[in-house]
Amino acid sequence: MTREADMGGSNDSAETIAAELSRRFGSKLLGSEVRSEKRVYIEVAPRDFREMALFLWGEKKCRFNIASGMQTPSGFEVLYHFSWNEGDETGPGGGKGVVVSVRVRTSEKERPVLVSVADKIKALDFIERELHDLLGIEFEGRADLKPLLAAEDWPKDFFPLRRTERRAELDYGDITR
Amino acid sequence: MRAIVPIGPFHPLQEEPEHFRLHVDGETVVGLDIEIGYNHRGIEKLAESRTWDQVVFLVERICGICSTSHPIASVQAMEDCGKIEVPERALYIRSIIGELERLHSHLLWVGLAGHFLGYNTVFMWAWRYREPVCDLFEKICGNRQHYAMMKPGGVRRDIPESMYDEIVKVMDDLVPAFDLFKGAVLDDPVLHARLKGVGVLTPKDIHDYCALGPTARASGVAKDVRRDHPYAAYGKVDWNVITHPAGDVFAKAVVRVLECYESAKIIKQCVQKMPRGPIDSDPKQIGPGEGIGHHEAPRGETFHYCRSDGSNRPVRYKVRAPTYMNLPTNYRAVIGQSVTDATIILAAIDPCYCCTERVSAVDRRTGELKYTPKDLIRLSREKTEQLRREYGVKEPVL
Repeated sequence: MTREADMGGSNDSAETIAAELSRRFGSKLLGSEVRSEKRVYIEVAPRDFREMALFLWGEKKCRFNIASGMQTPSGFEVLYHFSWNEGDETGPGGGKGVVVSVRVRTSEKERPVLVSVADKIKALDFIERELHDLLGIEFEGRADLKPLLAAEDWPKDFFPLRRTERRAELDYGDITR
Repeated sequence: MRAIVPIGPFHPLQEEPEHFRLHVDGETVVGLDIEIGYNHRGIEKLAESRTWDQVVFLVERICGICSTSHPIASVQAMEDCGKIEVPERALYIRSIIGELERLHSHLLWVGLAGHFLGYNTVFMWAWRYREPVCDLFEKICGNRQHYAMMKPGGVRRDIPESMYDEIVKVMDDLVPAFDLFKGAVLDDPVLHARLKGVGVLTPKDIHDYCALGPTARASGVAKDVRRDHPYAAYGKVDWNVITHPAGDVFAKAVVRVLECYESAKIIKQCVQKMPRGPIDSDPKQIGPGEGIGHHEAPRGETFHYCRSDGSNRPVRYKVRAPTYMNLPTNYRAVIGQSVTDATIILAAIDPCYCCTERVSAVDRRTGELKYTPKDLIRLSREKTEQLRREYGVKEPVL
């Protein structure tokens, strides 16, 4: 099998990865932390996320795992997780298994807006729609945020994972009768 | 002539609700819409109101087929968050349970794939050989599914040494069955005709959609969390990542059948190498922080993320099942294919939306309720007792 078919395959350690990201992104990197030999957490501003995602997925051939979003007291944050070293041929137990988690924060409390990369990375399509359904996050550069999990008649302004939501009078239709 | 062929949301071919709209021109599929969310149960939100111990049981209910994959990923996320050590023996037990699950899940898929193609002999044989695996589960943990084996810091039950020989024997006895399925897939001209060149995914498609598991490996992309992100005992035993370069449905079937051999190999080695000792480090709390856990489920990587503020429950819990990433590959795989091949292409990723429906048995002619869910649980427990007596297995220590 060719290396191309392998897609990636570098066996860099967490420290090497953090150093490379810091070299490449300089002051755009708002935070960088090696939590363990398998976990690197970094932070970029929403406007820089597109560049970071395309670097990780496009250039370094990382696999996008998923994004996890949440509402915090100061706004919203989304963590995008990427698996760095996969497809390495060192055999069982050889992989270093580093996951790079990119944190993106916004202080907007009512209408958070992040940048969409789903036009390039197709794997982001579902999760951007899900983040919109559950947390009400809008994605710049994306018009077709149709509901993924929410039903067609789900109220447009009710986002279940927001901590501020306290709505008990939702009409559940026939289901509960 | 252009038309739309709907499959689902409730369709006899599928066990679970999902809605595919196939846009067809004549017999050729030219477009696809996927709709999911019919089974969304708000488990991430629910997890925020459960204690860490309860979360493991909650995520176990996400799926009845990969019912140990979610708990393994979950406890690893908690251990990553709280920097918790796990005893060596527990790591081996986790791998054994994980691989037994892969065996029963792959055999289930091979059977279903045969069924989708009208090849019901394969269906009958695959499910027959899945039984000894489920029986093993029943003896180890008292249940055929939902094993409740994982906990943060270790496992809930030990595998007694008196069972080692039996586990090895079941694995040895299964090898001829795998040979049978390998022959049934590789030597059958009808399967070659139906599956080769159908629903092809290239390595670029796999990278674009970040697909994983057998779906990726059947396109020659050697991604496997067990090897790339070693955990449990996978780094301590000898096994191979199975790949196939073709990318079609045939390749996916071959990969799954060949992976059964590797699973049996891993289980046997784990049983032989498993050290004696404690099975649980008994952590008292998950410290503040965030953690990631992932496990190579039968369908691909299961990914869990948790965040803790140091209290007894998570402030955020995220679950990503493998089908979430594999499902969108159908946008690529099904286009340009014949509508008759669409069902097996859509089934080729081994989709799993959730498998938690409960059953009641009703007499069709009289409409009389024959078994309630309670009756079925009672019957299942009686069968467990009968098996324990037959094999002389003592009650597992809880």
